[in-house]
Amino acid sequence: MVPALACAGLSRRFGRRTVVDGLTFALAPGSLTACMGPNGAGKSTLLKLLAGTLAPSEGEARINGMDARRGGAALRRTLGVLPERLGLFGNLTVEEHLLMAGRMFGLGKEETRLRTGQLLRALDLEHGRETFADRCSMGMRKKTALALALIHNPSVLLLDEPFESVDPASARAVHDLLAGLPGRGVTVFFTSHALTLSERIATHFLFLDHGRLVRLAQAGELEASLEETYFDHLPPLSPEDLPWLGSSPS
Amino acid sequence: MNALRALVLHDIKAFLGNRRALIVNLLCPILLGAFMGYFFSDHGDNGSRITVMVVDEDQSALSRRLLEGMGKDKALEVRPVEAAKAMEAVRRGKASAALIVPAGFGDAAPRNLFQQGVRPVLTLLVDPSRTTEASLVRGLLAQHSMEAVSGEVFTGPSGLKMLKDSAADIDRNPSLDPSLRKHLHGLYDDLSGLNTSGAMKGREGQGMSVPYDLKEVEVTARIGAKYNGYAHSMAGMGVQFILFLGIDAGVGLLVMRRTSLWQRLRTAPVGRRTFLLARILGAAASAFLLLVGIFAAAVGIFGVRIQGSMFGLALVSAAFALFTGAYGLVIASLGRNPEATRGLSVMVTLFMVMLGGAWVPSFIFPRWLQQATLVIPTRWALDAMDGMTWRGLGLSSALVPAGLLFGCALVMSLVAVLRFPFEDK
Repeated sequence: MVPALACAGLSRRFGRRTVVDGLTFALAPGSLTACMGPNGAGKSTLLKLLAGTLAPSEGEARINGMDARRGGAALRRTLGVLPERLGLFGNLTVEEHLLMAGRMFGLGKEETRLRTGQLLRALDLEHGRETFADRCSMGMRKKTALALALIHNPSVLLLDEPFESVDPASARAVHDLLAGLPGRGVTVFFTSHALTLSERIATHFLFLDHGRLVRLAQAGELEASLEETYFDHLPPLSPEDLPWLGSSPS
Repeated sequence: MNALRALVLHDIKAFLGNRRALIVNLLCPILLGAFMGYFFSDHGDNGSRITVMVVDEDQSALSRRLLEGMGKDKALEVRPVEAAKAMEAVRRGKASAALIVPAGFGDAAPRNLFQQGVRPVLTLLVDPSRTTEASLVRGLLAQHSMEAVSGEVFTGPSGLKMLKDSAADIDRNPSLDPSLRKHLHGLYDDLSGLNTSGAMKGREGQGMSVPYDLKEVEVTARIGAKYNGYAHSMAGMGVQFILFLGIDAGVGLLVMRRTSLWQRLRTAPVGRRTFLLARILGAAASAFLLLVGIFAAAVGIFGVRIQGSMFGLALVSAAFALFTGAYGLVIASLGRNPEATRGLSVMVTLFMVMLGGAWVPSFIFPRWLQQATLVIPTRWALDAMDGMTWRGLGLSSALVPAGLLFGCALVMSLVAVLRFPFEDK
């Protein structure tokens, strides 16, 4: 079976700094993988390499067997991406974003309208459908960007921190929505720091540190809870004592 | 096709949706065009008269007659001043020229009408930055001095004295051909008779005059149609601000490459050609709408009439709008960063606009520059727009400039598609 996502010796350097370092892994269709690691581990860069918006320095990434950089429009139609910085047009409303995206992905007018309404309801965005993106809260913006990743019914979803910046109810809604996708054959690869939510839905966990693959495991293979496993592989920072904190100002 | 349409519609919506920017984009060219149109229009008042300071050091009947004749000229505004103030007025730009009539002019000038002697010297002080006006003053001075001097010969006392002196002079000249001497005596006798007979009573001061009346006909769309200076100025300012719109589109694209919007667009199923074509068409559509707004204001507020082909004007406007879209994309393709690119492209645009004749008509340029500017696209657009508005030319006159503009847009689009850094490195 062709893996939904595959990397072979994938590296990316910025100047002398190696941000993604020789990653090789493959994920089957219908898997839901949480990519975890501390800040600066290379998670967002890996996502861009998988999405084909950033060229690798070495190696290659493949989506459904197609080169992520050269797959062209055919590849893009199978891919839904929630980028790190969302990428919304400030002069478009939430609804207009979805209507435009639907048309860009080749959906018919009616189909676009139908899916737009459904996504707005599913992600609790109906009340803000006519709000311009630059006036939306961070949570609304995040959910709008997520809806944009979904509207064309992609077979592979690449999501950068889908649970962050959204309220608990919305995080739950996103969680539920993602949890149902593997059963429909959709492959999801997301980065997150939300250990509890990730533990509930992910079928695979991929730990990154300094751009290197520390561990890729199926959910059932973890010896302990996700949090314990995380800190086993990625030790917590030793806190620096700041004796001046809380003392009387001089 | 859906993606292309969605991207173009987004650009148009963004352009129309930003009301404040839209109003500024529309008002700026209209206000500047109104100012320049007023400046270059003939208002039939003193505003377009040439101010000439005059210093009469002669105070003779002839000098007074000369200055009186100049004062009646519709093209001149004559202001008598003292000698010291005349030069200062020209130096400060308050007058285009100053004329100094020297003492003795009244005696010497008639004497030199028929024979060569020591001629009086009229001094004309001119502003070197207003050479065209100085030339006009020289011409009018020649006309009025001939009228005044001949009038003095025919009817004035100094003219009579001059005729007697001249007759004596030819008698003292032995080398003069006898036959010519005889005819000159006859001429002087006749003029003396005219001067003293009283036949010119009531026509004092009347001398030779320009032997024709000049009928000036403005060659516009048709006989009787008045030239409207706003037609050119609105087109000129429209062209300028539309090119600025092109710069905004190009620089905006460079800025976008730095933002997450670029990542968003790169994840959409839109190829390089579709994306770039959408940018060109989006900017072109916005530019066309802006041109329509500017011409609507020109017609509705400033009375400009499309006296040529309306379709021709639409065709040229569409061609220039497309040129602008491609121009913006070339800027984005060749520019390295938004900040430097904006400065450089503004300079290039201002050169194109100035040399195209948008600020001042190109006939003001030196002849070689007039020829050189024939290769500048703004010149094609402006000449064609002039042709379709006040010159009243037909569609055929719009075809070549529109074709050239379309061709340029095509070449620039190809350059942009080849050069634009679409892929992230």
